[in-house]
Amino acid sequence: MKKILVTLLLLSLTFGAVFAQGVGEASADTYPSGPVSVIVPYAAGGGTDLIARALVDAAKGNFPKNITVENRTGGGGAVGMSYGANAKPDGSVITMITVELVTLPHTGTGAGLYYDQFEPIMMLNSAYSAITVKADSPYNTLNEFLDAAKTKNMRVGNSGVGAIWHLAAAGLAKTAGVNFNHIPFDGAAPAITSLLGGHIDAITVSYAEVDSQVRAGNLKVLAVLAPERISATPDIPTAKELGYDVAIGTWRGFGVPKNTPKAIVDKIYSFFSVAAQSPGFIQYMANTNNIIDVLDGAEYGKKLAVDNAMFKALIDELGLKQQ
Amino acid sequence: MKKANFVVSGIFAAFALAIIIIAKGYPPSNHGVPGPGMFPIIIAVLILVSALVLFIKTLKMPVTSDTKIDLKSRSILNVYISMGGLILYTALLPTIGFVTSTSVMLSLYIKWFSHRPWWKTILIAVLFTLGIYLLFGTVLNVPMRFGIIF
Amino acid sequence: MLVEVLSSVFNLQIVFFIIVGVFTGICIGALPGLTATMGVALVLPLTFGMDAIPGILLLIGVYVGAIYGGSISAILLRTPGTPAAAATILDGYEFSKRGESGRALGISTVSSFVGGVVSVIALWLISPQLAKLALRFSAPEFFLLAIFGLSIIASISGNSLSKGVLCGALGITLSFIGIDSITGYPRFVFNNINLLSGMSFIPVMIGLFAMSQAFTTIETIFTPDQVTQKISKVWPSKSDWKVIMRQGPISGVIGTIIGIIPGAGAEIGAFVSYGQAKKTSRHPELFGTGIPEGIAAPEAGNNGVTGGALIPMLTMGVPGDAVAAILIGALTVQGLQPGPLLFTEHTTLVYSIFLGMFIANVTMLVLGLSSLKLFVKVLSVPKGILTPMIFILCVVGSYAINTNFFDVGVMLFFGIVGYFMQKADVSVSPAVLGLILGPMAESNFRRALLMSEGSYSIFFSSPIAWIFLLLTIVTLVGPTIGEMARKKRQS
Repeated sequence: MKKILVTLLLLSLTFGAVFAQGVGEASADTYPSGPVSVIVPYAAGGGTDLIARALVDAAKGNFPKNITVENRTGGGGAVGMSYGANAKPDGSVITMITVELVTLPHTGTGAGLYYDQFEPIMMLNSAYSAITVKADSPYNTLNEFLDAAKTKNMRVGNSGVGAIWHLAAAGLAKTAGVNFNHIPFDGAAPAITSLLGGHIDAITVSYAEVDSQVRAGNLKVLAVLAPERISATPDIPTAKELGYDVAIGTWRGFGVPKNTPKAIVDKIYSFFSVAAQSPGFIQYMANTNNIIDVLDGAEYGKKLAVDNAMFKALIDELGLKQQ
Repeated sequence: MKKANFVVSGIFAAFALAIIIIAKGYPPSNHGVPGPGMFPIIIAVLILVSALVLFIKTLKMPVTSDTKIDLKSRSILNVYISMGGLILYTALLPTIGFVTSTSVMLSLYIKWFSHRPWWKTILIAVLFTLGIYLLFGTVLNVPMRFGIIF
Repeated sequence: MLVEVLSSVFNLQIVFFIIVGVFTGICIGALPGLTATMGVALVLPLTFGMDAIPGILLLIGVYVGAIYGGSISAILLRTPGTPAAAATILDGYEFSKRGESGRALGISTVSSFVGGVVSVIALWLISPQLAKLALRFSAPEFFLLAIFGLSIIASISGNSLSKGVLCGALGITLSFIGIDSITGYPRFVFNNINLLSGMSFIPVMIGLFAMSQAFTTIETIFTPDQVTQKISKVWPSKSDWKVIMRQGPISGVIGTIIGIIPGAGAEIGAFVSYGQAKKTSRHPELFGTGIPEGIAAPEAGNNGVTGGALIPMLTMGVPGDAVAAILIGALTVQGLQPGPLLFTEHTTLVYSIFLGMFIANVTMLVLGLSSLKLFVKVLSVPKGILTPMIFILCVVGSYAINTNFFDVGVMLFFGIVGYFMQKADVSVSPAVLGLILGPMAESNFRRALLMSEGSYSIFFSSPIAWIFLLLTIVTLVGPTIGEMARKKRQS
């Protein structure tokens, strides 16, 4: 009996949270006629949250009835994104969508989430995987490393099983026709620490995360899995230049629920794209080693579809699909 | 105490069996690396053994060292009522709204526990609720506006 | 560097937050039923909107203040304000019976300060070295460290080892919920999206510690509050100073060492220090009759734990006690991952924590010697008003962490579970150890085998691994051998 009561209580709490949303009018001319909330599916203070807050801060002049950031964490981002996808399609709830939107559904832990539930507004920033080894590692180029991987079982650290950097390593291995021994850690920092201690052979986290150790001379980056060289590090080659056509990275952007009027979507895009060019935001992104990479809604929508197909194939191949 | 120990060992043993049944269905080990089910089963076995030890120890325990646990007296009933009140409060909170439900709930508890005059009770409750609302909602940016009323 | 640290700590805002933290901490600690863990957990949501340094120092202030504040009610009311002050009752209340509560509080204040400062010095000297050593720690070493920490359950469970193990195992079981960190397989989630990322640690803690305690308070809600006696002359006499200066540093060091051991908290630090002081004393028979050593030892010991607990927390991301576990949460929220990288990439922050913690101890000394009367007043807040307010703080605190009502339900559930566990005489502390160290043991065990491709020899491949293996065996077998030796001597 008690168990039933508790279950009922928990259920009502969950549903209560879903239905308790702010109200706003769905009209493009008067938008934003009420307070707008930006859903961040990750914890306050984390990288994604801080970028969202910096952009919202730059755009808040366009939202006279107030715009606030709300963190809805859980499920590796699935909780917050599902909440945002099921909000009223009137622009009153904007969601920060991340690459997990196109990876979680394929690992079977997306709780019904799918990328087409969102109308993409714009992509804001991107970060690509950097193949990083210890500074005293015998491998000086990506080719040396991958050649060695043909005979030796390379231990490649990532920030979590099924996380984007795991997929990046897997994507590289697939393209190069080798096998890695993927070692998952709880986040990027423990993986970097383990590499520094010489317990693993390489890591595939983003360049921003290893930047300080590379500058300190403890680590070296063999290549980035980016479509073109990163402007902050023009001397690091891309894998594509070296003959391995693979570009995998994370991105962050904004979306509203499907069926939101086109005029409202355009209005939000105009507000946010201007905010992304503001000196304060540019300064913030430069200070935190983040790369601004703006795509408009149409381009972003194409990227979502392409990435979704690519990650589906990779995840199926890795056997990461659960249940 | 004896009875409580039996109940504790019984509940934990049942709990452990449930874990084993669920975890047996998890994917097996892979190339010598234990699968997701291995640790839950180890811990469940540990729970079973400890529950058994507790059971036997309690059986052997001399009756003289037994102490009674109070679960039915008036003061314990108050605890159950408080728990019920809180369950109701947390269930209604998301639909009604923070300020209203919290003020009402606080007033009732304070009135019940401390027998102050109504006006004082309500004043304390409302001031405290508004203080928390402002602190979390305004200063700390926690979304506190939910529910139908306020 | 030095200039940066000094300027980051010595500004009005930071010092203000430290003072607020210590003040709040002393009040929380002084109130029976409000523990240090609970205080830090309840203040944690306030730091989300703050910068890293003031946020962490606010929490550390609460921690330091609460561990000291527990002695106030221990001495005056014969009720420990926090479990850490339980040992202080033995001699502390004897002083009050003689009408010397002011003297006892003075000794407690200065001893706490001495113990705290010793631990801050240890933190400052040891952590940077340990951070370098921490790079040598890989999955097998972390696994064995976690197992060593878990073996402590055996020594803190007191008279009922089986109950301690049951409770610890319950904590470990909770940590299974969610996506498995090695294979990505969702375990025990029952198709509930809220369970996918696992049980939120903080709501469970608030439930087990704060909410369950508040329920226990309801049992005696209608019995009148105790009246405290007037206190006078807090400043210790010359002879008391001598005792504090002799015993304080020793107990501070003991407390620091206990703090470093994962899982062992301030209450153990206090009892071990008290035992050591009694054992090495020339007049052990006087302990328990109200002698200054009987206050100086446990109070320096429990505040010694505060700095010690931060050492493994900052250097390796391994919590020294339950409070340190919450502090890890506080740092992660700020985007900072405790571990050796913290020392190279956020040096200013690390040294600001050291300096801020020292200031927190000074603040504690000053507040303790100057405003004790105020804190004694806190003891007279009627529990009929305080308890409902604690209910609200528990609810709002667990909601604020993820702004998810599911967490409120989790908190309430564990509040009720914790209440009945207390009834059945099952201590909740091992559950916390299990919740923290369980996932660390499991994921590193499997990660190690992943790295070695299934070979178990990896667990015996480094001296560090051997050290933890031996320490674990000593912890598990030591008490039994000691017992046997004692029985032999007696017969």
